[in-house]
Amino acid sequence: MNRPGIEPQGAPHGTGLPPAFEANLPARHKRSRLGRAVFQWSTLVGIVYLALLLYNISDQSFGYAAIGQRVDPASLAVDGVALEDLDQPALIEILQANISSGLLRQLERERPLSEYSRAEVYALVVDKVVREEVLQTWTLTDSLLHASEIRAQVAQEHPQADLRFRAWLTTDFLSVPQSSNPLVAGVRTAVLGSLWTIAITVLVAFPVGVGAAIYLEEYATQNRLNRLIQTNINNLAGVPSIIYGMLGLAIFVRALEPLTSGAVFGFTDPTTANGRTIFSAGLTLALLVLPLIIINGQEAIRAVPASLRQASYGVGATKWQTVWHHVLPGAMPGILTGTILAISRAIGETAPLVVVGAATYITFDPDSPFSKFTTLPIQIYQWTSRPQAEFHNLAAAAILALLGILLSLNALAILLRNRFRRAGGNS
Amino acid sequence: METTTPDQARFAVEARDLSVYYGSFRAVKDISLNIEPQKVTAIIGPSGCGKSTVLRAFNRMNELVPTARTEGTVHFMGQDIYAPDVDPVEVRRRVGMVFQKPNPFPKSIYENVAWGARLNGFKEGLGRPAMDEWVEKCLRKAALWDEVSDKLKQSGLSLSGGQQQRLCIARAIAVRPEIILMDEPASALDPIATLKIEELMRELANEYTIIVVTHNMQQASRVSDYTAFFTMDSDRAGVLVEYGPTAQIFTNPKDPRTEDYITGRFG
Repeated sequence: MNRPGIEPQGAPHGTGLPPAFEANLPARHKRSRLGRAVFQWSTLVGIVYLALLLYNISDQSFGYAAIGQRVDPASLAVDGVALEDLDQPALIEILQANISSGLLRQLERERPLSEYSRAEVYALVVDKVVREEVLQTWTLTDSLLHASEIRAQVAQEHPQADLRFRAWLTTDFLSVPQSSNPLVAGVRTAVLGSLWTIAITVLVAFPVGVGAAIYLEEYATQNRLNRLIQTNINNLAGVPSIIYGMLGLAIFVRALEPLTSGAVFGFTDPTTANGRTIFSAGLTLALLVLPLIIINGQEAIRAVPASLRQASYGVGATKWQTVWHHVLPGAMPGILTGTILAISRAIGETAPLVVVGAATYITFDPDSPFSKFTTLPIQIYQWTSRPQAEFHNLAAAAILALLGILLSLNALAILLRNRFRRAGGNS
Repeated sequence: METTTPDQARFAVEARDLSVYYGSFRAVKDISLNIEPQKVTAIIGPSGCGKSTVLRAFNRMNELVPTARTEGTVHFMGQDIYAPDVDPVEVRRRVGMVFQKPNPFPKSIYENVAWGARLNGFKEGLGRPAMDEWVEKCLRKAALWDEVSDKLKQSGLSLSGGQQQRLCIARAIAVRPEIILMDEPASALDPIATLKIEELMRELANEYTIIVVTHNMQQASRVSDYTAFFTMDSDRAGVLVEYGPTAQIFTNPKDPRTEDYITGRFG
C-alpha cells in the first residue's frame, strides 16, 4: 500500500499510512457482511412465517370433502317423477311427511307453506329432508398428494357418500348468512358487521385522534399536565384490548344504552339489542385505536419542517391557517399510515367485541348502527371452537375473507396517502 | 397599527434596549438601533452573536419559540409592536421575511404568491383576473416572471435554489409589507444566484425598507447603505458594537473590534 506516487507533492505528512489503519479494514468489511447476513436472515424468517401462515390457511380452505345424504333423493321420487322435477304441492307433501312438527310450525308461523315458491320449497326439501352432510374433509395437501388413497378410503367407509373437491371459500360463502349446516354456511352477516363496525370506528377515531394530535403538537404548552397526558396516551396504546372491551361494556352498552341502542333516535327494534349494537362496538374499537392514531399523528405533525410553518407565519397567517393549509396536508401521509395500522388492528379485534356483546349466531343482515351484529373474527373464533372438522375449513375460508377485506381497506388508505404525497408536490 | 403612517416616524424601525432571552439565556443584550426607511441595512457579526434573533424580534417571529422572551421596545413606524393590543399576525404581514434556506410552500408557483395575498383579504378588483395580475406583478418585482411565466402551475419546489429564493421574495412582497427582513438570504446559493438576489435587494430598496443579516462581508459592503456590527460579550450575549453608514464601517471603523472583524483578524 506504500505508494509514494499517489501522494500529493510536498505532502506535509509522511508517505505511507500507519499500519493500524490498513489492518482493520478487512475486519470492518467482514462485520458489515455479517450485519447484512443477519438482516437478510431476519427478513427471510419473516417471509417464511408469512408463507407458512398462508399455506396453513389455504390448506384448510380447499380440499376433498366426503358428503353423504341422510335420505337418498331417489327414494323421494313420486310415481317415477324425480325429486328435482316435482311440482310445489308434491314437494310440500314430502316436507310435511318428513320433518318434525316443531320445525313445520316454525315455518308456518312465518308464512303458510302454500305461499312459498316452488324453488323455496325445493331448497327446504333438500336442506331439511335430503339433508346433505359432511362426513369427512381433507386438506389441500392431502387432496393433491393422496387423492387415490382418499378415494379408496371413502369407497370403503362411506360407500353411499359423494367425494367432491370443495373450495370452502366461494362467492356463495361470501353472500349467504351463517348456518348450522356447514355446506350452506357463509359469512355475509359477519362481513357486513365488520364493515359497519370499522366504518364507525374510523369515523369516530380519525377526527378525534387527528384533532388531539394537532392540539398536543401545535397548541398545548409544555407543562406538567400535558406531559402527564402524553405519557398516558403512550401507555394506553399498550393496554390489553379486553380492558377496552370492559370499558365499552360499562360506558357504551350500559351507561349510554339509550344512545347506543338508538332509542333516542326512535329506533325500536323488536329484536332489541339493548345497547349491544354495532354502534357500541364501533365506539369501543375507536377507543382502542385512538392512542395509535394520536401517536402516529403527532409523529407526522412533528415531521413537518419548521421552515414551512415559519414561511406561513411570515406572510401573516394565523395559527389555524398555518395548521390547516400547511401542517395538516404535510402530515397527512403519516397520519394515514397510522390510520392503516389502526384499521388493521381494529378489524382483527375479537376479545373486546365478545365483551361488548357481539352475537355469535345471527342470520340477518345488520341494517343500521343500532343492529345486533357479529364480526368476522368472532365468526372465525366461534367456528374454530367447534369440534367438527368441516367448521375449521369454514374458519380458514373466513380468515382468507378477512385478509381480503383487510388488504382492500389498506389498499384504499395507501391510494389516498399517495394522492396526498403527490398533492404535496404540486397542487 | 392602522392609525400610524410613515410620516409620523422618522425611522422605519426603532429598537430601544432590546433584549431577547431563550429560557434563562440572554441571547442579545440592550440593542438600540434605528433603521432608515427605504434603505438596505446589513447586520453582520460572528456566528451566534444574535443577528438573526434581533431580526426576528422585528416581526415577533421569536414568539414561535416557546421559551423566548423579549424585553425593551421595538417601534415600527412609530408604533410599539410589542404593545398588548398589537396582533403579531398583522405585524408579520407588514414586516415580511425571507429565510436562510429557500422554503417555498409545496404548492404551485402561482399559489405560493397568491396564498398569502388571499389569506390577508386581497381585494384589488374582484375575482381571479385581479389576482393573476397581482401574482404577475409580484413575480416581476422579484425578477422571476420571465423564468416562470409559462409554468405557474408547476410546484414551487421544482425550481432551482436561487429561483426558489426569489419566489420566496415574491411571496413576501405579495402581502404588501413595508419592511422586508432577510435572514442570510443568499447563504445557501451559488455566486451567480447570490448576485441576482443582491441586485434584487437594491431594486427593492426603492420601495421597501430592507434589513439583511449576512455572514458575507463583501455582500454587506456591496448591497447595504447602513451596516450594524454585532458581537458577543463576555457572557455570550449579543451586543451591538457599531452602527453607521456602510462606507464608514468598512473604511473607517471607530471600534477596534469592528476593525478586527472586518480585516479578518477575528470571527
